[in-house]
Amino acid sequence: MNLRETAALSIVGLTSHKLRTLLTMLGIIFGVAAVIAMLSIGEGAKQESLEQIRQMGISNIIVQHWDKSEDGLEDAINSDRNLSQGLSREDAEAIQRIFPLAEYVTPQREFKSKALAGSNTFNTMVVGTTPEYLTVLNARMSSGVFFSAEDVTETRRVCVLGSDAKRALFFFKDPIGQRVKIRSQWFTVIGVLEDKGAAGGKIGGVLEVRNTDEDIYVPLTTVLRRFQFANDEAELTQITVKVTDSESLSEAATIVRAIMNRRHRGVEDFKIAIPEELLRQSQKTQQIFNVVMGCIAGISLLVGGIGIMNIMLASVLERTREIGIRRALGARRKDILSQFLVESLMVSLLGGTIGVILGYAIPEVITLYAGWRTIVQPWTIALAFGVSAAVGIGFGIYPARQAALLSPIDALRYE
Amino acid sequence: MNASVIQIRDLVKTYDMGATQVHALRGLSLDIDVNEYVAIMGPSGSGKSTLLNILGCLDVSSSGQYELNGQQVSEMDDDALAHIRNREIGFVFQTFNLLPRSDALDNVELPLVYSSVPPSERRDRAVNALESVGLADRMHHRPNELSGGQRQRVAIARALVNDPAIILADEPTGALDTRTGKEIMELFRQLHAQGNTIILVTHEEEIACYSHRIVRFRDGVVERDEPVSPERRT
Ligand SMILES: Nc1ncnc2c1ncn2[C@@H]1O[C@H](COP(=O)(O)OP(=O)(O)O)[C@@H](O)[C@H]1O
Ligand SMILES: [Mg+2]
Repeated sequence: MNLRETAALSIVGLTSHKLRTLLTMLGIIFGVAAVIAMLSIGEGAKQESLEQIRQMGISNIIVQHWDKSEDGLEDAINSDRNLSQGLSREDAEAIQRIFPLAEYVTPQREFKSKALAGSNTFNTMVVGTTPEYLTVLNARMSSGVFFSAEDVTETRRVCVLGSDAKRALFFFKDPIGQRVKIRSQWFTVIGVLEDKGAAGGKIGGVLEVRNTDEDIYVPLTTVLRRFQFANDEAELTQITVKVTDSESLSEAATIVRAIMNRRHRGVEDFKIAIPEELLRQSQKTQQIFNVVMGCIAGISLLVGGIGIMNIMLASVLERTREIGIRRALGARRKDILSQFLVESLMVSLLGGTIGVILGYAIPEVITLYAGWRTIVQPWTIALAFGVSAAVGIGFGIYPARQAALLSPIDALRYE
Repeated sequence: MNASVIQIRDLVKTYDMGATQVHALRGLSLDIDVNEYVAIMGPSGSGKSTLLNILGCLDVSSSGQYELNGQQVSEMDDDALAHIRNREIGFVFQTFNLLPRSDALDNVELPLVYSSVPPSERRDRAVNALESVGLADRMHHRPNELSGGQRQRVAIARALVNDPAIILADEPTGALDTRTGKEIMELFRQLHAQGNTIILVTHEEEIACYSHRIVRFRDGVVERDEPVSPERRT
């Protein structure tokens, strides 16, 4: 009897007990579905934080203004105000001057605003900065140019649009030379950035990251001159430091922190974050997540395997006479062994297949309702099938051996 | 002189029941020649089935020799025994032992499945075997859709399908009424006429009279071994 016939035989066996077969498979189905769904959620989260981190620049150190009122520390604010005025252009210049490893230091002043172009409006983040920011962001122009040093010194009213901002304000029209209105000020569009495709979020619970494709970039000087801000607001919201030697990021961060502390008289009105460190942190979290999920999935696969073994043992008992008849007519031990082994393999592989389909569907549903990014990787499906097969063989071998070891006459006499 | 197909010397079969031992065969010797038609008789529990199971390689003896066509069966491994069951011996049981969920044709094909006969040829041979036992019109019936006699015919077709030289039958008419039993015995007569060696266990004198030699057992040994005179034969 060849393998194809053995398989056909076990299909007959399995389809004659449909409900039982389905119940037997449940453990495998849920185990496999869990493995795939977990891994795809994990992978989605990983890709998302990777992109967010990459968008901040992997060799950057970020000094962010820390608005303590947002964290419910109202009391601290007033006393701090007397000592330090928050992030300023002087801070940026000081870092540039004192810190030898700084390749670029870009000051940023960001504020939320509505932008208008013709009849279209878009809620955007206006980022006042310097030309180096293009390099620091690792961004490329999709059309036009970024503003120049001269635009900054001349406080020109020019702007560069992030890809999403461009799409919202101009659709597919060419925006270069068009005008955009931000808080009653008109800006001429001189460039559009390439799409970076990242979503916003909070990385490692520390650093706010937004979708920078929605930003509009203007010269820092223009922002500071043209727009009115409350008196107690700090001049800058962020300083981004691009470090020449990305090997020594954490030492560099220590130095930057020292410089800032001295300039702010010890007042902690800023936060320093290293995207690269966050990346490592999130990878570690990812690993823990994977191990925990791996254990859960492993346990459910184990339970599934025990379910298969249980049913196969019952099936061997129930079919003892059939085994006897087959043996009496010339079946060898290995024919009986392979018959039962193929049967448990089919149960587990069928369960694995249904599990894979479910494992595909669950992340889709999660993405649909929770908005999480999920990515089903091909290797997880290969893994799921491999594990199902291993479970089928591993837990099927004992019952199959029991069946094969029966002597023909004992099997025939079995009542 | 005919050559022996089966030679048995001092065959012992003891069942170990823990505290007690059951001696089913106590040093039994027997020779059976090619194309003999032998009936084994004897009281219940005298070891008839035990011997037939050993002859059919379904069971193994505790000691003694069993030679089949010059091969020492007592020394064979499990695969070799399976091969003999498959090719050299056709076994017919009192209770038919058909697979309940398979139809007649599939049941008859079963021995061919385990002897690597290609599927297309299997079908033809199974159809022929069923035709030869007069069941051409019941090929796709399952055992529970057949009468007792028809079931035994399926079982005989199955025993024949791989052209074994020896047919063993343990009370093949035991579960059938007299008339049906006679029909079955007619089949065995034909098989014998075609050159098969037939060994049949029965406790009915009437059935035994279809054979040419009656071997009587008592307590695991041969009590009497005599030919059936042509006048007595049915
Ligand atoms: N599997 C077994 N276990 C224990 N004793 C058995 C077994 N099979 C048969 N026997 C005993 O062996 C003796 C011979 O049995 P058997 O060959 O079946 O007799 P029969 O001549 O009626 O066919 C009986 O005493 C029976 O009880
Ligand atoms: Mg008996």
